Amino acid sequence: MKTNGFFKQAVIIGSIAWMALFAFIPNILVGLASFCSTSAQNFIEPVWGFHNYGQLMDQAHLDILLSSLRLSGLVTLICLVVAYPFAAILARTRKDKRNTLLLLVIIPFWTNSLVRTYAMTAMLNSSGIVNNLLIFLGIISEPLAMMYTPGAVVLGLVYTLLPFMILPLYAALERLDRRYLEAARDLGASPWKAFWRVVVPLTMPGIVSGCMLVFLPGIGMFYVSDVLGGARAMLLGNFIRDQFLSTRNWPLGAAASVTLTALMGIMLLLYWHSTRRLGQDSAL
Amino acid sequence: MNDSLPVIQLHTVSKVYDGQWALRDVSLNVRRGEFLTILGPSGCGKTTILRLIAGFETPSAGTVSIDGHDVTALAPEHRNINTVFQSYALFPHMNVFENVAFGLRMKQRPKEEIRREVSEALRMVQLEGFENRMVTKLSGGQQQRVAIARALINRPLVLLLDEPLSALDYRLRKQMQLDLKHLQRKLGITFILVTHDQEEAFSMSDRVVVMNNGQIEQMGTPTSIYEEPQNLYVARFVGEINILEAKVVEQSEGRARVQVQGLDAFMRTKHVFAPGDKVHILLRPEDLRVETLKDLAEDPDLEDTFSRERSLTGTVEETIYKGATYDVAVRLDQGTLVMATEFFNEDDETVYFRAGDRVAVSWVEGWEVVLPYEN
Repeated sequence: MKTNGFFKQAVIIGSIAWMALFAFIPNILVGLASFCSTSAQNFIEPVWGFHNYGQLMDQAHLDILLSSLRLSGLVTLICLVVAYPFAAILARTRKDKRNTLLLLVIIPFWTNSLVRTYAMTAMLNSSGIVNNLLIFLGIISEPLAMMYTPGAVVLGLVYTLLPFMILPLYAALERLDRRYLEAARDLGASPWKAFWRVVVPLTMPGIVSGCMLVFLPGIGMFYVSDVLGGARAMLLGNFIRDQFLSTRNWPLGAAASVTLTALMGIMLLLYWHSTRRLGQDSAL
Repeated sequence: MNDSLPVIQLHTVSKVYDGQWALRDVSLNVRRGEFLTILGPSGCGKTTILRLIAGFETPSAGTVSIDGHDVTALAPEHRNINTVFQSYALFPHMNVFENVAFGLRMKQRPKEEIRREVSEALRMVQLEGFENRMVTKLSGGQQQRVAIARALINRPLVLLLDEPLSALDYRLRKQMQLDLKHLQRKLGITFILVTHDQEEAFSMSDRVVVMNNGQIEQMGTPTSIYEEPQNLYVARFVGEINILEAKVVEQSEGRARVQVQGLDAFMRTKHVFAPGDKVHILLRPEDLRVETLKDLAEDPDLEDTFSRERSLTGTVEETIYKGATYDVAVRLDQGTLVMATEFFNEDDETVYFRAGDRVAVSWVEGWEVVLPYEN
C-alpha cells in the first residue's frame, strides 16, 4: 500500500508540475506580455499599459477579429446542422452497426490534419477531382476557382472539425431517454414540437460542447487558412501567428491570444450555466 | 355518445418484434369508465397492448379503435389518450408547472386558463404550491403524482398507467393504490393499468385481464379470476393454490364423482367430462380446513361440522408463521404436499399444529375448482 501511496503522490505531483510548467506559467507569461511594449532591441520591453488591447480595437484589427468570428460561426453552424441528424441516426442505429459508423467518423483522425488539409487542395484546385468531375459531367465548361477563397477555408474547417461536433452530440443523444420523446408525443406534441421543446433542451450540453469544440479551433487553425485560403489572413490564429513569427510584435500577439482565451472562458461559463440548469454533471 | 360502445377496441391484434410474437391475435373491449388491469409476468405483451393503444406502436395485424373510430394508423398526439409512464418520464429540464402545463401549451390554450388548470390539477394530486420546484428534486411519490396530474389535465378519454407504482416502497404503494382508485371513481375516466402484481390488480380494478405469452388467458372481475380460474396458468399466477391430480368416475348435472388421493367424492364443475378423464382439483389454502385425527376422535361436535367423508388424511410437515395467519404444510398419505392457511383462534394465540401431527384436510363442497388435465 505504501508504494501505491507513493506512486499516487508521484503521479499527482508530476501532473501538477507538468501543468504548471507547460500550461500555467506560459499563460501567465503571455498574459504579462500582453501588457508590455516592444522595441527594436527587445521583443518585449517592460513598459506597462493597455495599449496593445487599445490597438486591437483598431478598425483593421477589429475587422480581422470579427471576420474570424463570423467565419468560425458559419463553420460551427454548418457542422451543427450536418452533425445533428447524423448523430441522431447514429444514436438510434443498432449497436453492432453503430460501432462501424463511429469508426468511420474516427478514422480520419489517424491521419495528421495538416496532411488532410493539403489533400483537400488536390480536390479543390483547378485541375482537381471536383472540377474534373463537374467538367466531365458537363455541368461546367471552365474550372471553378475554388481554391484560395473563403469558401475553401470554410469547407476545410468543416471537414476537419466535424467529428468534434458529432461525438458530443452523439453522446448526448445516446443518453437521451426515448420515453421523454414519447411523453411529449403523448401530451399532444407533433414530432417537430417534441424535437424543439424536449430533444433540443435535453441535448443542450452536447450542443454547447460540440459548438465550443468547433468554434474555438475554428478561430485558431491558421494552417487551414494558409493552405486553402492563400495569402489572405482570415483567422485570428493567422494574425497571432504573424505577430509572433513575421511582424515580431509579441505583446500585440499576446494580447490577441489573451482575448481568444477570454472568449473561451466566457463560452465555458455559458456551458456550465446550461448544464447547471439541467441539474446534470457537466461532461466535456 | 353511445355509452354501451366500448371506449377501446382491439380487434385480433398481433405484434411481431424481430420475428418474435409480442402479441398474438388479441381481442379486447374496454368499457367506458371502467378500471381495467392487464396482469401478467414481464414479457407477456401487456406493455405492448398499452403502447398500441397510446399509438407508440402499430400492430402487425388487426385494428385498434377508440370510441368506435379506427385509429390503427393515428399518431399518438392525435389520440385523446394520455399515459403515466413507468419511470414517469417527467421532463427534467422543466419545473412542476411546466411539466403539468405541457399538454395544454401544445393545444395553445390561453395563459390564464393554463395557470388555473395547472393549479387545479396540482390540488387534485395534493401538490399545491409545488409549481416552481424542479421535478428532479421531488421524491418518487411526488414525481408519480406530477405524472398523474400532467396526464389528467388533458381530460383524456382513457388514462394508461404502465406499472406506475413499481418504483415506490410498499407503504406508499398501498396508499397510491387507494388514491388512484378513488381518483378514478371521482373522475369517471377509463383507467387501463398494467402490472405484474396480482394484489395491485385485485385491489384496484373492476376487471382484470390475465396475459401470458402474448395471449389473453382470462378476463373477468377479480373475484371470478381468483375463484374460478379457467386454467392452471391463471390459477397459479394469482395467489397460492394446491393442485391435485384426479380421475373422473362419473359425471352428472353440474357435478362429477372424482377419485382424488384415495378419496372418492362429488365435486362441482361446469365442465363436462367422460368417465376415466384425468382432471386437476384446485384448492386455495384458505379454503382448506385442517383438524388433528386425535381431536376428531375425541370431540363428537367437531365430527358434525367437519365433513370427515370428504377429507384427506396426512401428516403435518411444518408450520409457517405469517403474522395474522399461519400456513400448515401437510404431506398427504398419497405423497402430495398441500398448504392450508389457518387463522389464530381467539383464545389460543399459538400455532396449534406440530410437525408430525396426523391430520385430516377437508373443504366445503363447491369451493374446489375442477379443470381438464394439462401437462
